[in-house]
Amino acid sequence: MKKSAATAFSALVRRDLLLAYRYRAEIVNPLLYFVIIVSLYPLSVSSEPKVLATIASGVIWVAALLSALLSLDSMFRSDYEDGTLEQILMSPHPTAVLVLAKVTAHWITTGLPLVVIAPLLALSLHLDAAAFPALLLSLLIGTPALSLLGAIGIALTVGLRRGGLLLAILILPLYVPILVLSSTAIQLAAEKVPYSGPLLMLGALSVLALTLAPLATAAALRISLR
Amino acid sequence: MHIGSTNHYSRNSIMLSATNLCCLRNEIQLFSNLSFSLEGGEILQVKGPNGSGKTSLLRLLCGLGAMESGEIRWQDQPVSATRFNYLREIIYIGHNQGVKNELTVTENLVFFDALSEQPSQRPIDEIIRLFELDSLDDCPLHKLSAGQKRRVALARLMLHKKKLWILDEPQTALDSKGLTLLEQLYQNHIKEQGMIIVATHHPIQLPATRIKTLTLGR
Repeated sequence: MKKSAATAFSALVRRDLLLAYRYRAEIVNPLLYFVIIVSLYPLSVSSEPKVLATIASGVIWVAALLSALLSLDSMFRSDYEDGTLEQILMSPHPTAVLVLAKVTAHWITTGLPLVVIAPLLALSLHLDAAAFPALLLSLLIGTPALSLLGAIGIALTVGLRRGGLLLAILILPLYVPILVLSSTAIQLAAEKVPYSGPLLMLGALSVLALTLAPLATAAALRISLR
Repeated sequence: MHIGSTNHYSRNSIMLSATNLCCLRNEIQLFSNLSFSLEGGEILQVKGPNGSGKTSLLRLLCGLGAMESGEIRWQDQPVSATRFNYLREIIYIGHNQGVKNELTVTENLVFFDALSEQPSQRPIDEIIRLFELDSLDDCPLHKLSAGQKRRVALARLMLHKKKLWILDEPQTALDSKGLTLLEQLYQNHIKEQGMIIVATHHPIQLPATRIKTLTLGR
């Protein structure tokens, strides 16, 4: 009996989670980076609760974005270096499905921990209690888009030895709408006005990324491996 | 119409043919006007000095490299048009062997099994035993020697029944026992009308087998 693409998808997710578990530093590093950036603000800007509460949404999202950028490099790097990426591209299953599996595992190991720890950091920044649902929702909807869009950039630069800066230049413009919509939603929630508008826009962006990014990433990987 | 699983390839039909392949790397022409064909039960040995484009040719045949010009046909269909049918029939073990250092022997093979569409033709622990890796099956690969790692990569050849094997220097780091094992694998594959394209400098000694040679870099 033929095995379906779903089997390959779940095997790839499981393998990447296992690899992340064996290399725990790869999960901890971006998370630590996130915590450090956020905790530097009270030290450098002001420890005044009022000031912190107004910048909290922006600070958390900028930190999430930078830590996502830091974690992206690991998505395809080791598979590229040991030849597994060639084998993945040669699989008879659709490459986009396998790419989506890799992005899913990447989000579970780097995006999800941010969502979990963000409320704690928001508390330390005196974010208004009314804004917490918006913070969590924006992170839950927005961080998968960070991984999905980042995958395109990293797929294009994986063949280059020092693609770091190029990656940032390629990806940051795509990240800006996510940043703007998310922090707007959190600010609106803190001012106790309806905030569903920007969140819905963010959701639309995420769905767009989910449908198109795996295809673009698969094509980019093929070019990179030439 | 029902087609039998193994014997629907007629004995002397040309399965793989390449015409006028031309490949550039970094603006330098590696080879041009390269043509060959391969039938079931044949081995193609690719020779040539370092940097003559052996690996590039093999990757091209796997659909991984960029071709300047030329055409590769599989069962009389251009590969570009029947990509997935072609990929189902081939296996590639390259210089980068595609095994993960952080995973154990078993985990590596289980993953490769999952990437394919076919179910594995024999249990994975049996394959591990055949390659004499059974005492190491729970060892992460970074604890293994280069030759043992090579055995793990070659063990993939037994996972699924593939028509065409594309191998890049498969003998590297193997001991004499490993080399004998590899020859046995070749022999069984050829007996079942399989095809092998192998880049190597070692002479291939197989009785009653048609071995074609392709020398690059002349």
